[in-house]
Amino acid sequence: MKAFKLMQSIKTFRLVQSIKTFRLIIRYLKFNLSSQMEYRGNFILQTIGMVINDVFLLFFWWILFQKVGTIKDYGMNEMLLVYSITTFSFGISMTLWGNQSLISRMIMNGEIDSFLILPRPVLSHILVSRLSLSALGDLVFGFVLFFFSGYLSLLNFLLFILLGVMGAVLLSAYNVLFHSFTFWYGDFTAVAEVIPDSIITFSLNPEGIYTSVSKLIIQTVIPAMYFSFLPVRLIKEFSMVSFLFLLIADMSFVLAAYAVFYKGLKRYESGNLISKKI
Amino acid sequence: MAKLKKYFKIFSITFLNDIKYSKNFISQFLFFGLFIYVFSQLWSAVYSERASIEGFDFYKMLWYFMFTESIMLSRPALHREMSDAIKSGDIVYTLNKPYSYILFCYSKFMSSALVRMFINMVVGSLLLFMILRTCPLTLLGTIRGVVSAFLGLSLNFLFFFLIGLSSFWFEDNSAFVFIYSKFLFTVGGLFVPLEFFPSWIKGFAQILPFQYILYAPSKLFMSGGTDFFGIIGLQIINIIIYSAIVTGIFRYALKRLNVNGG
Repeated sequence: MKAFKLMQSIKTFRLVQSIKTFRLIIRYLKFNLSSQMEYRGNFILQTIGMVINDVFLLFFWWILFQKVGTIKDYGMNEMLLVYSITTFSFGISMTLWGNQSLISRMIMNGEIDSFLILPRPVLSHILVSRLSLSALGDLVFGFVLFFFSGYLSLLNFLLFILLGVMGAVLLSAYNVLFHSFTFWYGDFTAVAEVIPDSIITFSLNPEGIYTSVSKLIIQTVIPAMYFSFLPVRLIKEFSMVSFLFLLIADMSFVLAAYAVFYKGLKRYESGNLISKKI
Repeated sequence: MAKLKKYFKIFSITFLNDIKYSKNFISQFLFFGLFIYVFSQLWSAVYSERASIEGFDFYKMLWYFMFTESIMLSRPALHREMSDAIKSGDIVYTLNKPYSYILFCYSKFMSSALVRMFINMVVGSLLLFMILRTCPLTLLGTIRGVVSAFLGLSLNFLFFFLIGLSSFWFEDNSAFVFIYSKFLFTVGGLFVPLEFFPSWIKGFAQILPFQYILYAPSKLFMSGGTDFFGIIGLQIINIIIYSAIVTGIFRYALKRLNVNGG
């Protein structure tokens, strides 16, 4: 009976913790949003900048398809779908969890200290404590682009939103995973900045170009398969087996990121830098 | 010459600092190699149905891409460093030193960029040679390409410095970096040479300075140094023009600097 009560109290404690963390995320969102809107001109510039950035990338494919027609059954429509799902996921991920690409620098600069003394889960607190509104341009671009991709239907639209969120979670987990190696390797910032970018680069190509070794790479080290190609396949032709496979793959990266970060955190050495966190 | 000595010192200190963390380089260049490999997959798929596009066959295209990507990926994140220094006010600690802030940043930027570019090109060339079993490099073309790449990086520095200066007016300069990078991607000729563009875009690209950062040096490497003096002449003219612009904006920006307390 005592064990049962103990289990119940642990469950209640975890539920309360989860609710508190969720509330914290919402409050950070509100706070960050209002602080970013303080610089409206800057916000508009960032958003437009990201949209221009994406349009320029499509320009390359337009030039190439003008010259060659199709590449491994991919034409401009398929590339629009690839770009819409990739930029939409990237936009959600970077907008909501803006600190994910700065974790390496934070570890190096001893900026994790301020999170350690607060009564909230360290990783989720770090991730939500910065909102990257510049990525909102990507989010909007990806969303709008979906309507021009030639695959628009109500079911596809709902699937697009769901897959976009799953992709966002995967990208954040991937970023956390690689940035966490800073705990072991010291100044890992250069690699930590390059590697997560590579998932985007690999994703923004026709799936058919990857064969043998490169196909293995996009399924493991640089998981573009789960970030872009499998979601694109699911929108083109839904399959429950593929969807479940995608879900398991995403969850695996989340668990790996979580485990590596907290294992690394035990090696974290605080600096003597005095900083404030407002 | 004595005045330049301090900048060589900054150059060598940055170099030693980069070497100290060589572990970063090794990993980064492994991924650069991977990058080349993946693009070889793309071009392999494209060229599986045709022998040549605009005079570029599969081999030429990969070597061209290797050179442009080597230069592109060599840039250090100067804009971020400047942004942090400007926003935190730390920039004053460098402004009151007996050196030019622009040349201080230039020495640091070039030291990191040249080391990275050199290793990128060595790793990339070895990898491509292993994949393709052919190499278009000649001694003259390589020397001329290196000179042109040096000038291209100098021009690249000026644009990065300009973006860094934008922190005097804007909270976050990353949007400018993204847009600038995409200019290099497209009209700078990163992914495809300018020959691939429709004539109206090609004409537009040729009046912009971005082709002198990636496209022009890479063409020199590929062509064995043809039209060397014409290309570096135009690179130098662009460097002079943008140096004047950078100096002017930097002086104007300093007037906005407001540091409180100590």
